[in-house]
Amino acid sequence: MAYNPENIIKRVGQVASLPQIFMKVEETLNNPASSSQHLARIIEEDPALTARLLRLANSAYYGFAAKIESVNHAITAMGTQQLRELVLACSVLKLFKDVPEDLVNMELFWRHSIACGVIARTIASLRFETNVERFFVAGLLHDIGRLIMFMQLPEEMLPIFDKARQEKQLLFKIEREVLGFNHAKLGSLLLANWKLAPRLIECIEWHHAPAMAKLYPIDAAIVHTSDVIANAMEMGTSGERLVPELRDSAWDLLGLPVESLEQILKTLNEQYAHAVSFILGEES
Amino acid sequence: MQKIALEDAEIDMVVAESVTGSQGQLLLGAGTVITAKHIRIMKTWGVHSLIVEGGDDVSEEADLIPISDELLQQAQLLEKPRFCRANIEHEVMGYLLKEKVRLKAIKINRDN
Repeated sequence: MAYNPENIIKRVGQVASLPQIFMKVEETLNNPASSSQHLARIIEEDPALTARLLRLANSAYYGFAAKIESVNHAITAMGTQQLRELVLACSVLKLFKDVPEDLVNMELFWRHSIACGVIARTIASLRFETNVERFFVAGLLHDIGRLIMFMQLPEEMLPIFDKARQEKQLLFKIEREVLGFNHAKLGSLLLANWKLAPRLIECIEWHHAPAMAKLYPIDAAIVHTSDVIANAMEMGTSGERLVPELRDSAWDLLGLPVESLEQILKTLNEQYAHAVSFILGEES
Repeated sequence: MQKIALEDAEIDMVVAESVTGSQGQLLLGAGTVITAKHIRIMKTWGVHSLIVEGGDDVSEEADLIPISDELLQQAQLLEKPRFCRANIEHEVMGYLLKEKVRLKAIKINRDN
């Protein structure tokens, strides 16, 4: 049976569209006449989101010296682009509540994604990249295609898991062998359908083969490396049981010494729990 | 050990690294059990975060616990199958495997 990833995304697109609040934030940021007060008012319309953002802004994840008491203050401290990324992260999470639990433990799935996001953000900081929060979002969303697989192809996924286990092979390779495409491709198609940034789409598409990323190879290398580290340290799982290979060229592209791993793991230790609480914490 | 925001500090937590005020003055020494008064003092002196005992698996506390070779070997046997498709000859992967084995050994030690 042939599977067409574009058709799968079309089916998903009808049920999973990004929440209105993210669209409004996008609209505001793209409107040169709007102000940060206007953006704050939009976010404050969603009390749960406001509470989450303020909790994160006041945690060691950011480590701001002064207490952040309003969304407007958070915008000033973080910057509008970083806030946009966090709103996107919250928005996407709300969409995946009906994934079959026999295929994936959602808490472990998001823990893996969050670990990947924190590591990606840390690597980006070490490289002095701008707007590091977009790397957190890229890490958070890198395996989103697998959630689509669980939702749209549940019967196909069970034998894929079995085959991967029997052959001691990486899941993304078996996905490709059986379906003709892997979760990275499917995830990138979903993000393209949502009209998100090409930069984000490309690094999700090539997080298992970063050398294929033509426009933003460093972004893809960062997400690839972060995924390998999160898997190696066994922080959650998106279904994969094995640690993937680290592509030499991806690590070389980052230009970081091996000693930087100590800093990366230390930051992960400091920020992971705060990021988990921000993403998975109770909406109150 | 873990770093927490002052607002997350609770009575009976144990200070892991000495806390200093914004002018560098020593407020609480390592090992202090936090009381309500300590929290007030830290607020007064502009402390925003502190290091306390306890925390997650991937913890600096782990550095302080001696691990026997036998435990490390046991941990290695448990961890290595997960790395069967990873290029552990790469310096980065070698580091990650070693670190994961160390953490697993600490966990086995704690669980026993």
